[in-house]
This record gives sequence, C-alpha cells and structure tokens, in this order.
Amino acid sequence: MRSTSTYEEAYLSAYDEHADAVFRMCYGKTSSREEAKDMTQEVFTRVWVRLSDGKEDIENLRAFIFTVARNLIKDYYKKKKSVLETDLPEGTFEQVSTGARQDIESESALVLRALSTLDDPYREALMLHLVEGMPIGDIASLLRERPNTISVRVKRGIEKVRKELHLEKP
Amino acid sequence: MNDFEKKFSNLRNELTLSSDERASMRAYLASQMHTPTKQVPVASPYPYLAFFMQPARMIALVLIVAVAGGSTTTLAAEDALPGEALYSVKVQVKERLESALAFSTVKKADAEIRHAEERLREIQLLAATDKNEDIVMAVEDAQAYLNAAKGRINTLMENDPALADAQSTFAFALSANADIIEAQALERTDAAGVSLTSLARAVRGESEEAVAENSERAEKVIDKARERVVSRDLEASTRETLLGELAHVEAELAKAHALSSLKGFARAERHAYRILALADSAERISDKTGKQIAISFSKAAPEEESAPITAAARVKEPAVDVMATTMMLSAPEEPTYERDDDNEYKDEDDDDRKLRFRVVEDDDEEEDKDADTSDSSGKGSNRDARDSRD
Repeated sequence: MRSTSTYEEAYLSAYDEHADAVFRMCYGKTSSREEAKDMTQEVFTRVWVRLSDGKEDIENLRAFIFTVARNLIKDYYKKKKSVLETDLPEGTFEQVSTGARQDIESESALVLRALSTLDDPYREALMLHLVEGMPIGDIASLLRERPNTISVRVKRGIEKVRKELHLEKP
Repeated sequence: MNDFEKKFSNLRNELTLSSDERASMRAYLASQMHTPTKQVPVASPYPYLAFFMQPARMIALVLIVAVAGGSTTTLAAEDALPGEALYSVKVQVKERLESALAFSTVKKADAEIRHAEERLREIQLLAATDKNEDIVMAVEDAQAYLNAAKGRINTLMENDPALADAQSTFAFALSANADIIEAQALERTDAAGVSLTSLARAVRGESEEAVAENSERAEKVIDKARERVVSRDLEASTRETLLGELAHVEAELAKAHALSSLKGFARAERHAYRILALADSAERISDKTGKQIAISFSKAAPEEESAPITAAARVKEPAVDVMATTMMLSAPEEPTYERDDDNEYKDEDDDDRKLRFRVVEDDDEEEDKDADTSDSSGKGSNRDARDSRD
C-alpha cells in the first residue's frame, strides 16, 4: 500500500502533465472554453475520487485520466441532447454555449469546428495523433484498441476534416 | 510535416489553459483532495419520465411496452443491421429478453452462442454491401460484443463445468463464421477489408504477435533467398529469372501486409523457400555435372494472366543424346491463393505457381519448343521433355 502523499504527488503531477491535453479534448467536443474548463476540472475531480478510494492504480494513471475524459465527453452529448429534448429550465445543467473563443486564430478555429463535427472515436483518435503527437501504437494501448482500428479512425477522421474544410487531397 | 498536419499541431500551442487558469484549477483540486465530495442529484421537473431516463430503466419500459403490445416490433427487428433504426431493439430488447428468459445455464449459454453468431452474420451481411463506414463501426462493436460474450460464457462455465461443450461450440461456431468474413475481406482492398480481416483474426484467436512472427519469418526467408540467389554461382539468366520471381513474392508479401493475413504470409514464405531451394539445386547440379543450368520462367499467354507461371531448368549438355528428366514440383496440399490481374486472391488448389524443372540438351530450337509447351500448360511435362529429344 502506498502512502497517501505518494498518491497526491502522482495525482498533481499527472494534472500538470495532462491538464492541457484533457482540456483540448473537451474543447474539441464543446467548442467552448468555459465548458472545456469545467469539464477538465470535473475529469480530474473524478479521477481523484476513484484514486482516493484505492480503486485505481497510479501505474495506469494516464490511461485512466483519458478514460474518464472520454466518458465525460460521451455524457456531455447525452446531457446536451436531453436538454434539447426536454427543454429544462435554465441553469439545470451547465450552460450550453457555442461561440468559439476569439483569441484562437481563425484557422485553428476552423480546424476546431471541423473537429467538433466528428464522431467521438474519430475525433479523439485524430486529436491524440495529430494534436498531441502520440504514435498510433501508444494511442491503441491507451484506448485499449488495436493499432489497425486507430489508424483507420485517424485516416477517416482526416478525410472528414478535409471535406469539412473543403480541402483537396494533396 | 505537411500543411494540413501543421494546422493540427498548431492547436497544441494555441489551445491551452492559461497559466492562471491552470494554477487556480490546481489549487481547487488540491483543496478538494481532503474533502470528499458527494454529488447532489438535481431533481428533474419531469419526475415520471426521469425515472425512465436511465438506460436500464428505459429498456425495461420498452420491454414492458413490447410485451404488452405484442411482439410485432421485436419481430420486425429480427433482420435489423447495425446502423438501422430497429437494431438497438434487436440487441437491447429482443436478445436481452431471450437471455433473461433462459433460466438454466445451458440455455443461457445457448442464447449467448446464438447472439454472438448473429453479430458475425450481421457483419457478413454488411460486408456484402458497400457501406464501408458502417462496416468499420460494426466491426468495432462486434469485437467489443464478442469479447464481452466470451467473458460471460467463461463465467457461466466457472459455475457449471458441464458447459465445456458450450465453450467449444462457441469457439467453433465463431471461427467458422470468421472464415467466411475473411474470405469476404480478401475480395476487397479498402479499409473495411482490413477491418474485416482483423475481426476474423481476433475471433480465431490469432494474435498480433502471430501475425508479426509470420511476417517477420517471411521477410527473413525472402532476404535469405535473395542473398542465396546473389551469392550462388549461377548463370546470369538464371539469376535474373530467380530475382524476377523474388519480386513477385515480395508483391505477395506486400499484399499480405496490407491485410495482415496469416495465410498471405505463409504463402510468401513458402514461395521464397522455393526460390532458395532452386538456387541451391541449380548450383549443385551444375557443380556435379560441370554443366551450366538455365532456368526460365515462362509466363502464360496474356489472356490467361492468372495461369501458373512455369519454370523450366535445363542442363545444357551438347554431347549426350537423350537425357531428359522432368520433375513436377506440384502445388502444396493446403489451399493457396493465386494472384490475378485484379490484384486479388483466389483460392486455387491446383494452379498454384507450378515449378517445372527440366534437364535437357542445349539447343536453341528446343528452347523455343519448350517455351511453347510450358506456355500452353504446366502439365504432362514428362512426355514433353521426351518428345523434344526424339
């Protein structure tokens, strides 16, 4: 059994290391800085809750953080949908804002918007590979998928983004 | 890095938390570490529907409605494919209902097998269409489903060892269906094909490692064959023909790589071995007899591109009158694939690149004649060889 402070250290350094990546993944889904921030915080809160229960091993912390982020991103979609369907009073769920931040340069904003139109599996594969610069093999083991599957997703994701941005094939 | 990829990598620098944001979030998280949080549920203004908003309850609701309202929907869902509207009814309602109504472990295992098989049949049906995207997605889902099903069967078996039968039925039923899927995959060259082969491989329990091993082995043999062809004391034309054949084998290897097909690797390996052996034998025979060896591969006529390529090796020997021995190295017993001009594989038990090995007198006229006979067919060469002598 590790001491509590080992957990705390590992947790906080994992935060330092991965907060931006998680933030970007959330942003890719929501296109909203505020929401992505909230979601990032929620991801790390959940990670801590599980960690402090002793249910997760810190060896797999990175994989676990990304798993939590993926699940939250999936839930975001469900929540957003049910908001639309049932038209809940304002403030019941977090605000749904759609405008992209001004300070992001316009070209990146376009890429982001194109990314947010992708289905979750494609977007996350594409972002991990092209934005975070992770090799296919790493992504595969992180998401517990086969490398084949991941490279197919990346390829298809790129095709779709190209189409979305009206880019010709090189 | 191309321009397109640069757009993405730019995001990495442009899209970050500001240092303020990062620091304040870190402080917040650190403060939360010592005060365990409980999430307070938010009451919905629609309490009746809210009760059914959880997936499990929603399914129960649909179930109740389905049972009460007759089973027309579930019947209609029987043939639904992934991506279709009724598909979730089929998997989530109909199949779960069947599992729930199977009370003995034997029946439960039975239901699992049927449902798992159904997943693969759906893939086969989809593979017969050109909905590539659906195929890739469905393959992913099926893989997840099958993994889970395997786990469920194993748990059932732990509780009831008498179910060992069910476990092997499960394995056989699935691998039989996987064979069909791989055969379908070999007919296509797109990403869906890759996806389908990988499913077939996973179902049959062929690991990535096995594929890696096989491809490595095939590559090694090809390298060895090349080295052998280059280093052996062969006549230039012989060497050239063997290198040509080697190029062909490399194309086979590339195809096998593209599909990660175990069968493809095995075939490339076998053909590479043949070249290796051919180089050895050619040198040995010419050493022993002091005569030059000429091996020629004669391609079939263009309209029969897929016909076997025949190799005839001759010992040039001007003095001796009749010395014709011909061996047919026939196709190996196991079914193999023949490459045709569409770049696809066909199952060809008989016509796998046949090799013809001849020892005849050197004579330009004869050579032409031989080329003709090997063009027309790779068979009955014993008699051909004798004819050419008489």
